[in-house]
Amino acid sequence: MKKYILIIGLASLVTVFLSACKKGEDILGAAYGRLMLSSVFSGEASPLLVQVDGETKDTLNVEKPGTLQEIILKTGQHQMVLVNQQTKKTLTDTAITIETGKLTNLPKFYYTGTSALFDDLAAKPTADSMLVRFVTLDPKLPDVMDIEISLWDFGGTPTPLANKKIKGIRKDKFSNFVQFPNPAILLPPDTDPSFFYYTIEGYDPAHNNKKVMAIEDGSISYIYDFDSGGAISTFIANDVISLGIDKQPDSDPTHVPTIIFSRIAQ
Amino acid sequence: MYKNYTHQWGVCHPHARKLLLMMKLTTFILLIGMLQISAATVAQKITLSENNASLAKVFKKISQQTGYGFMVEGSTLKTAKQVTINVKDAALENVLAEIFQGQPLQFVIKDQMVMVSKKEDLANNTFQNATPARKLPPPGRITGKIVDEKGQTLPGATVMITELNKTVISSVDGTYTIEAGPGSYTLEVKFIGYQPQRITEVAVIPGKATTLDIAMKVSATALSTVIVTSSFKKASVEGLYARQKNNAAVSDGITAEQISRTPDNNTAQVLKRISGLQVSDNKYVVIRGLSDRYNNVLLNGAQLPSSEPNRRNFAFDMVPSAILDRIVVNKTATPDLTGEFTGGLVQIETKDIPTENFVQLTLGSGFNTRSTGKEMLGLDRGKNAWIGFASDIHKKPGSMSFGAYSALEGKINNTTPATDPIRQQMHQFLKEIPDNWTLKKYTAMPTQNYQFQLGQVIPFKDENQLGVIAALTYRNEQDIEDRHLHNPTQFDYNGTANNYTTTLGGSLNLGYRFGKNKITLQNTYNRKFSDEMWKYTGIDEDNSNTRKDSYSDVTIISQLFQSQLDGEHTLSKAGIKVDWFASAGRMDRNQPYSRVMSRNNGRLGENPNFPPDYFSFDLADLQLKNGNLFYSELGEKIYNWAANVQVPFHLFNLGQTFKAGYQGKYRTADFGASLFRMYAFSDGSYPAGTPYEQVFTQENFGRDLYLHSVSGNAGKHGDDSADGYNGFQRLNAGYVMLDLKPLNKLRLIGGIRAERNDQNIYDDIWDEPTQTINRRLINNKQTDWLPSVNAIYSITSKLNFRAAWYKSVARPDFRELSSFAYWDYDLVGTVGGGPLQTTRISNADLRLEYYPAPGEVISVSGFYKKFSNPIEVLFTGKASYYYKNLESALDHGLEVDFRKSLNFIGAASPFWQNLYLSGNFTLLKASVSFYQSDAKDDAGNPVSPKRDRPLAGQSPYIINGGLLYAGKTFGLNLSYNRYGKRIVYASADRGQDEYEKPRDLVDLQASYKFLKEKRAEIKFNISDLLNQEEISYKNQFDKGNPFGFDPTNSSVERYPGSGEALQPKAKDPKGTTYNKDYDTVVRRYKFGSTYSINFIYRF
Repeated sequence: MKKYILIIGLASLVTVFLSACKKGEDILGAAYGRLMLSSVFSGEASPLLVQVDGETKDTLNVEKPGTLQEIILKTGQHQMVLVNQQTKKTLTDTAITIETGKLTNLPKFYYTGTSALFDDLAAKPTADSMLVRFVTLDPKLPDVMDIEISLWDFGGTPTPLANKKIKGIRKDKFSNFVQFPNPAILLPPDTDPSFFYYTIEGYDPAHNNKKVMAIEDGSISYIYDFDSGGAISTFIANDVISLGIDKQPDSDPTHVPTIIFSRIAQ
Repeated sequence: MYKNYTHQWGVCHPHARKLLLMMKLTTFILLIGMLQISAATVAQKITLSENNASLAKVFKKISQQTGYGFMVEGSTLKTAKQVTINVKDAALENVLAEIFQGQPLQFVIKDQMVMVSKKEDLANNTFQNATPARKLPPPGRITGKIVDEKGQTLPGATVMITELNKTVISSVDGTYTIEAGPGSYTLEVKFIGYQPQRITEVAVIPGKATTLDIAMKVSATALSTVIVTSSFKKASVEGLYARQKNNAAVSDGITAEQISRTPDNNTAQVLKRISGLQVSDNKYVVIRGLSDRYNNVLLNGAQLPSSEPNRRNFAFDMVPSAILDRIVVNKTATPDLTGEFTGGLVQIETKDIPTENFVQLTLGSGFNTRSTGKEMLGLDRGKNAWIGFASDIHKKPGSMSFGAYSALEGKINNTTPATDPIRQQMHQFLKEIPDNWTLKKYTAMPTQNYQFQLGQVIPFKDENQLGVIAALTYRNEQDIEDRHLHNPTQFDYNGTANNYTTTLGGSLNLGYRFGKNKITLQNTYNRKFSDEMWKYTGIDEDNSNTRKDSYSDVTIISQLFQSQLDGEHTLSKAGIKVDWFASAGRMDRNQPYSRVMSRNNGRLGENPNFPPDYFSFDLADLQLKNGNLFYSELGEKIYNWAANVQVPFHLFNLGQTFKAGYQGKYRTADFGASLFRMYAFSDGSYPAGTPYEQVFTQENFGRDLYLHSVSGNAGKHGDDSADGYNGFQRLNAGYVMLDLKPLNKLRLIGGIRAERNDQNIYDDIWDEPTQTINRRLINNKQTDWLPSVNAIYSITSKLNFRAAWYKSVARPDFRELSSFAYWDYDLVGTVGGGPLQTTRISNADLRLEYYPAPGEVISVSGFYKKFSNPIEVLFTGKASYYYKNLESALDHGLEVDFRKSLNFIGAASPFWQNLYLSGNFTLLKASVSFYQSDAKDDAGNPVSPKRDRPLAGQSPYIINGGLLYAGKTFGLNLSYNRYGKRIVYASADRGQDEYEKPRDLVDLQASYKFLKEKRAEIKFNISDLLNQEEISYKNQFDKGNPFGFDPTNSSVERYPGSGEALQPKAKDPKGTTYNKDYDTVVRRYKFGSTYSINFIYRF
């Protein structure tokens, strides 16, 4: 018996003694990347929850249609879901891959309230032209609207354009693309093209084609290079634009055009 | 039975003997004193006087006197030695013990027969037919010290057991040991010039030592014949008083015997038990409220190097308690002691010649409520940490030195292209730095400690003795403490400090005592590996409240070796004593790869969605708290030598002493340090979210990370380190002193000591314009004359009045004189030195001490200390601290000490007799005065330099209390300690003074002895039972204070007398005392309570 007690005692002693040299277990740092989303909201669309791996990371709405602060996600694959906050309906369910230390920008989309519309990456204008398609964002405008595009100079003289009356501009989907040539080729010879610009006017076919909208700034309007915030508008060849007709600001009678997608076709 | 025992002693016929020799196996001689049979018993007294007589002859005489027969194997007595014995009326057992001492024989007594055999025969059952016999118990010993009325040891005194006529001479250190069989004896002690003493009823217990210190009184005549007779009890009380009362200086102490009754494992724990002492950080000593700077340590008389580069201090936890003989703490000076102490001089003496052979093994373990079994963090500690040694992960790179690297690094900047050859050379070097950045998770294991002690006394002829004492100790501690640091406007960090410590100790002491001489060789080696990982989170207030998740890790590997040769000699019958020693010591302290690894987690309020483990790294700024790497090596050598001569003489019929001596010290220090900030070249990219172990890798250091030299840049310390210092100190001291008794009741100890100190420190300063190193010398050279007088007036035999006046000094250490700025990982700031002056102190003490009984004392003391050029560490703003001289400081103190048995409650009760109450209370009133150059406000305008506060480290009051029960088998010790608020770091601005808040400490120990002869003992210890937080604070408002004052606004008058008005209601009604709503906590620690158990077995 004494022998066993001695053995147990010695074994305990050795165990305790050796515990002093126990190796530790690595605590590795977490690897993270960043995610940004941007969208354009239809004026009637309810907020949209951005959920990653089941956790709401951000809420998008008309006032904040994009993530203001980067969403930090662990490196690797994640499941991202866009959910209509009101209806709880899942809009998009997609796998995303986050890389360590890198920023992942998801493609911008137009949220109609029921669906997310993405850029048409296939459309391509003819040489020295641009493509524009339209969608109505302003909830006060008719659900279906006709628009007319014309070319004006600073003096207020219009230059009629052929085939630039487009019917059926809607709120839930984009119109077909309309091709706009370089204004320079439409103008009389020796005319400075920088004095000319396109304007857009909208009519309600359900009410005798009553004019309901004009994208103007004073008497002028722009349909391109809105991103510059622009006082100076420049025609950009091969530009493919998805243009939203947004609501009137309180202090301004004109409607605001919103570039939803813009890319230079290659 | 016993039929083979056929012959009587002395009447053995030749033929019969021949026959017996032929019957080898069965031949015995039976000696029966038939004719003298009487009613003699064991208690019968024997008187014998024989010189070199045969054993047979002695047996016969004993047989004749007692009637006892002797039974001896035939050939046994051939090996016996001749016997010299001189006893009168001694008991049979005592006489036999005396006769058989040193013989290769043994004996047993059965009825009226003494059976004698060779020592191995009993084991072989030679007397197999004998019925079990009573074996004589082992002899005991009477041991102690012979001292004079002053408590001075008396070598050469004669100590005799009158019954055995056995005599020994007290050795050079006054000790004596005399062996005797169990019984009651009378001792006679004689020494020329002193009254002989006869002490009766000295009991000797089998196998035990009876301690009897004997105090001799000076005789009026040179050869006194009047013998003073007293009982053992009275003599031992007088002896104890003599040692207790008659110390030349005000002192306290603890002996090995007292230490053995405590559960303490190291000297720091032992020091807690000495009256008036406090131990801070579980290793540094505070005496009379004076911090480490004003205390000193002697190990066997030699000064020790500081074990810390940033403190002028010695870490007492490095010395195991197992090797201690005694500790004496002097609180006033005498000329024969170093002049470099003011609060106290801790004299540690290790064992040399033991009083008895022993082997002792101690096994201990413990757990901490905050730590054990819990998750603990750290880096890789290396494979040798558990045995106290460094591993490969602590090695310096081999391809070049840090100094050479720093020189290279000074030639590039962070935009230098990767193709640059200098940059490539740097990367080659940096790749060699061990890869040890990854945090690791451990489990905090129980504390474990082991001690092995061995003591052997080897006797030689003429009572000469060789003593060997060896001790080995091992201790491993793993503990976690809560640590919160807040430097207002700089940072606010909260986390846990994870401490892993291994301590190894060994000592081998040899002592040879011959005649009136003793030579000892004492060797001590201690080694300590400590790793402290502080993992913290918080904010940087100086950087837009950047959130931090960081760690600092400090590994320190230190070793201390000291070897010392001592001699003590008594030169004449008059008792002239000479002692000397020479010692060499070396201390190495290696601090490899200390670091701050800092990670940012955005800014407070900026992005609440940041996951807590999402980090970025600042690899560009110069702030050391945002990341640094530090490597330092300190090597100190210290040589001490000394010789003292002590000449006793008689005057006024009283014993007087003259003493003179010389002491020398030579000390060198070489400190190299390299401090770096981690940087990335501009072509490196380490975006947020990259795990830290993927940033700090050998691969990245070999590609685009680098270390930017902060301390030296291009400054090179011997081309080995980026920065540092080296220096030496020569100290020569001489003294003369007189220990006089002008009156029977008055003793005066006075004299003068001169100390010539020459300290030289060389700083290596890089001169940018000339691209050369300037070696700047800082010299501290002076001669100090240090007179001292101690007076003791013995009002009664139990009442002393003491007065002392003396001068002392406190010299700045190498580290403090150097301009090197040390990054202190505990402070999260830098501490710099400079040309400092030696502090000179005038001291005066008065003490009334009453000794109600041996081991008891009640004393009241008053002390006065005037400091000129005291040194404090001053907070100079942000995260910078500097050693600075103050102009002066003044202390007035009152101290009450007591240690009293509670036997007055029940004198007959062993319980009350063994129960002691002890306490110490110190009250301090103090003031300091800055130099005007430091007494300035924020704008640099002069302010009043006077402050009514103690020096940093001093408390306005200290309370120590203890309750001790010391029974034969059970012991209990309950101790309580509390100190008043004390300044940790001072400043000219009172709002910036950092105070440590008082806290209560309660420790409890219990011990129990068991097994045969109480060889086994269990000691149970609870330390810091209350587990109160340790808090430091500043007298300024914190964030979120209930009054809405701006943080850092002072709640006390910043510059007394300046007329600066505090905002209404901003004045703290408690002044500088901690007040939660008015003050800012800058440090907060919580350590947990520690429960430990030790098992001790004495073989």
